[in-house]
This record gives sequence, C-alpha cells and structure tokens, in this order.
Amino acid sequence: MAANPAQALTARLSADVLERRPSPLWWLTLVLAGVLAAIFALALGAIFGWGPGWMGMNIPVAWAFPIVNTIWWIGIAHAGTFISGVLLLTRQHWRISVSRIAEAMGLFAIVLAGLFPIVHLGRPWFAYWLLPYPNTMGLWPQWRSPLVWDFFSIALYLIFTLVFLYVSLLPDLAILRDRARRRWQRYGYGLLALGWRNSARQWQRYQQTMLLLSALAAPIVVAATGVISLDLSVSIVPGYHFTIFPPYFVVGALYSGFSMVVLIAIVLRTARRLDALITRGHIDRLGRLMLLFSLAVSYAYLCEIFNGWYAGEAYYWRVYADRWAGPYAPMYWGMITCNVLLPQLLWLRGVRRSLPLMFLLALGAQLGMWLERYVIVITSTHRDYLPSAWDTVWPTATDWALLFGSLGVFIFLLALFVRLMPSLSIHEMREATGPANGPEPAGAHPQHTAGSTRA
Amino acid sequence: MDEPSCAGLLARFDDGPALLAAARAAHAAGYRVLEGHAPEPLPGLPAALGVPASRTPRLALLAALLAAAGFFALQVWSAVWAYPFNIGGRPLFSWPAFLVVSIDMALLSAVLTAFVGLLVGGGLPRLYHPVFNVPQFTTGTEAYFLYLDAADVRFDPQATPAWLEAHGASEIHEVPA
Repeated sequence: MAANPAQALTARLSADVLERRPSPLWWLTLVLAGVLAAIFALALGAIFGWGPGWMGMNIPVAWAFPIVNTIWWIGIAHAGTFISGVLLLTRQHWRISVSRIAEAMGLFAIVLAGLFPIVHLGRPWFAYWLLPYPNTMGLWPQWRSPLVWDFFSIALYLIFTLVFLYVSLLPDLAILRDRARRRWQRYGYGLLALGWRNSARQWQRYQQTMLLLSALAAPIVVAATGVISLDLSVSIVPGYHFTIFPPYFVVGALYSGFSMVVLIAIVLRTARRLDALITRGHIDRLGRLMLLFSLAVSYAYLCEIFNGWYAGEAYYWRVYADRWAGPYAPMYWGMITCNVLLPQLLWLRGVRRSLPLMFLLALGAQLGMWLERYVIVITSTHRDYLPSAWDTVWPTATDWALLFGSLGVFIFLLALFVRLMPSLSIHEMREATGPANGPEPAGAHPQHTAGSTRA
Repeated sequence: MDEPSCAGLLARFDDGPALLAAARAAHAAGYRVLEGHAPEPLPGLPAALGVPASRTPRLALLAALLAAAGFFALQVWSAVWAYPFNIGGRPLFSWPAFLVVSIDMALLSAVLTAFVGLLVGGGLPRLYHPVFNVPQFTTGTEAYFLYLDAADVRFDPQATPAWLEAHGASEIHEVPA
C-alpha cells in the first residue's frame, strides 16, 4: 500500500482509463451491443422510411410501444439525477461510488427516452414544430397540450443531465490530461478539460455550481416524469384519468432507476474488480431504496384500484376486471410479481448483500416496470368507452427490435463510457480519502470510500 | 526597476494546511495577483486568497425569473392574439396550462446560468496557462501549489522566493513567461 491512500487511488482509477487494455469480455459486450444497435437503426429506418405501420399500435390503441419505452427509459434516467442531486444535498457519502455511472446511465437513458416520442410521431420530420419560433406559417405550439409540455420537460432533462455529468467530469478530465502518456489522450482529455487547473477560484465555482445543480435536480426529476404522466392523466380515458399519476410515475421511475444502478454497479464491480470501492454495503443501500420505492409503487397500485372502485363508474371498474382476467392479464400479474411480491425479499439483509440475488431482483424490477408501463398505456385504451371499437394490439417484430435495439444502444454507449471516462469520480474519491479532509489522520477512515459497512 | 524574466513563481507545499497558511500570509503581506492549486476544494482557501464570493446563485435566480416571465408572456401572446385556437370552448387565456413550460424554462435557465457561472468565474475555457509550462505542475497527484504572479506590485524576483521558502514551500519553480 502506498504511503498516501488518495494518491494510490488516483493512480489506480486513472490507470484504469489510460493504461489498461480492454478485456475480451469488454470487446464481446461492445460487439453484441453494437449488433443490437444496428438492428435499432434498421428498425428506425423502416419506420422513418415507410411509416409507423411497422409497429403494432393500431386504433383504438393509438399510443402503444414507443410510449411504453419512453416512460420506461425516462424512469431509468431518474436514479442518476436522484443519486447525484438529492443524495449530494443530503451528504450521503456512499453515493460517491455509484454517482458517476448513475449519471452516465441517466444521460444515455434520457437520449433514448427522447427518441421514442419521435418514433411514435406519424410524421417525425415535423417534430421541430414543437419549438416555438416565428415561422412563415404563422403557427405556434398548442400550449394547452401535455405533449408540448413533454417536449420541454424532456429537453430540459437532457440538457440538465449533460451539464451535470460534464461539470462533475471536469476535474477528472484534468487529472487524466496530466497523467496521460499518449499524445491523443493528452490532446483529447486536454481539450475536454477546458484548461482546468485545480485553482481555488475554479474549485469555489465548481462547488457552487454542483450545489446549485443538485438543488435544481429534485424539481427537474418531478418535472420530467410528472409531466409525462400528465399526457395520460389529462385525458378522460378510464385507466389514464387519475390524479395520482404524477407521484405514482415518479416513484415508479425511481424504483426502476435504482434497480438499473444495481445492475450496472454489480457488472462494473465484477468486471473491473472494484470490490473495495463498490462494496456489498453500497448494494445493500441501493437495495433498501429499491424496497422503499417498491412499497410506494405498491401503494399507488392499491390507490388506483380503490379509485376505480370508488368512482362508481362501470367503465372504470371494467378496466380492472380486464387487467386481472382479460387478454393482458399475464402482463398485469407479471408486474405484480416483479414490483410488489419479489421485492419483499429485500427486507432480508442476506438478500440485499447477495450479489446474484440482487442482480436477479434488479433484472426483475426492470421487467416489472416495463410491464407496468405496458399495462397502463395499452390496457386502458383497448377497452375504452366505445365497446364496438374494442380491440387488442400486440408488439410486432419491429417493436421488439426497437426495445432490444435501444437496450443495445444503451449498453454500447455505457461500454464506451466506462472505457474512455473514469467510471468512479476520481476527485470525489480522493477528497473522501485525502489527508486534507476532516480531523482524522489519513488512512484511518477508509469508511468514506468503502461505505460504512465493509463487505 | 528590472524587467521580470518570468510570469511568476510556483511554490509547492506538502499539504493543504501548509498551503492555506502560506496563502493567508501572502495575502496579509500584500500579494493580490495570486492563486492556490489544490487537488480538492480546500475550505477557506478562496477566502484566504481574497477571492470574492460568487454571484452565480443570485444570477441563476434572476435568469429563472426572467425566463419564467418571458415564456409565460410568449405563451399568452401566441395563444390569445397570434394564434387563437378554439379547443372545446376552453378559454384562450388558460393560464394554468401555461405554467408548466414557464417552470421548465425557468429551471433550464437556472441550469445554464450555473454552468456559464462556472466557466466565467473559473476562467474557462483557457487551454493555455503559464503554469502548465512548469513540468512539476500537475492536477494528477496530491500536489498543493501557490502561484504568485510577477504582475503583482509586491512581486520581487529576489525577495519573493526567499519569502516563499520562509513560509514553508518545499519546492519553488519559476514559471516561464
């Protein structure tokens, strides 16, 4: 062990980016994800070239799989913002180990979330009409429509995530610039670091900016998913028209987001041998948050059912009878299993600290949240107020290509990110271990980095 | 008065407290064009160097309020006068619906102001700086530096290095102009 633990940590984390040769497993991941991404591009080409008929959505279910995917992806994005924003404000030191990957994950997820509404548009080449700008047609956006609100909220979220990730990367980019040996690394990281010099002025502004961005994170999270849920709840369709939707969507988003952080943290920890930095203690904490949001989601499910019954309207109640025993019942019960029943295992400490079990539960949560969006979006309109129009829709091969293709794009971008950028925040890690931090002598308190409970 | 042959002096210190003490002493001795470099934000260092408090939070609030008011006005104008559109007999001036985009744009303006505040206040982007000419200068290790600029009225090519040494500098480097 080096005399200075912070120094050793910096060397180790930057060498991971600058020196380490990519493993065969990384190449395999990149190639497989690249194939899926190519399939995604093909599916997009088909839809943009010929039209949305390639997808399974059809009247009466005019909103189908692209909307399901949008809400699912935006939920995954939320944990990034939550971990970096809210947990920074509440000074949760354990977040340092997972914040960087959570932020990167959030950025890539929100890019995909923003892409799907455009896929859903019948005429995607008019997407820019959502922007308010003076034009020769004398046309302005319809400000009373939640679809316009959506556009602004997703755009806000995308720009926020990008700014947050970049600002938190700046000091790390300077570290990489100064430690790099190869010319392209020095130039590349040097340009991105913008000339960061660790000066007192820069640190002062950095802390100020991070604090401001973290304070803005909470309203932005609520704005994004909350506003998306208004697309549904502003309508009068039974199954959509619930005032509980904005908080219900936000907790669901956080549930899926935290489970995605668990998945990525476990993969990264195993592949990079980061056991000392991402400990079972961290996974335990993420598990507790998953359990918390699973309980909140379960409460929302109950509230929805109560509302359906209390409304006293046949069509409302019918939606539930149909969800429980209709053509989409397997999706509904799958959702209950993954989001309500299985997470109860998280009460057990042993489960929260077991990596394989946490991996499976997190995978289940992803599936469950996709099914939840599927149940909400599709089972509501397929039994609308007009029984003569009742019909069922099912995903086509193109829909599956879009879903799994978007997963491919996500994994592809993440794999590139963990290769080119430090997947743990070097400056925050060394600040936590550094000798200048706190009254304790250096090395005497590894718990800040390693989490208060050791593996 | 002789022409300074260098842009300034870069002194290295062993740890944060040493840098902090030297920075305080330098400011007390009358140095004004100076900068501290630490691998992490050192509490008290900006104050010791006489860096003024940042106005970014207030500017961000101002930007947010302006953006909210501006976008609210744009929506009212376009929905009531420029492009009136009757949807189910709802009033043209349906202001609650206009709040969502106004709030979104307020948040966006605050985010962008915070980012611009970091760039402007931190003097970024600035890819070239004289301290980069010192081979020992790095952000990649646990290195603490105090930089005294030759433009400072108190700067003296002979006396300043001695002063730095007396205040605990472990290495002193001339920064090439």
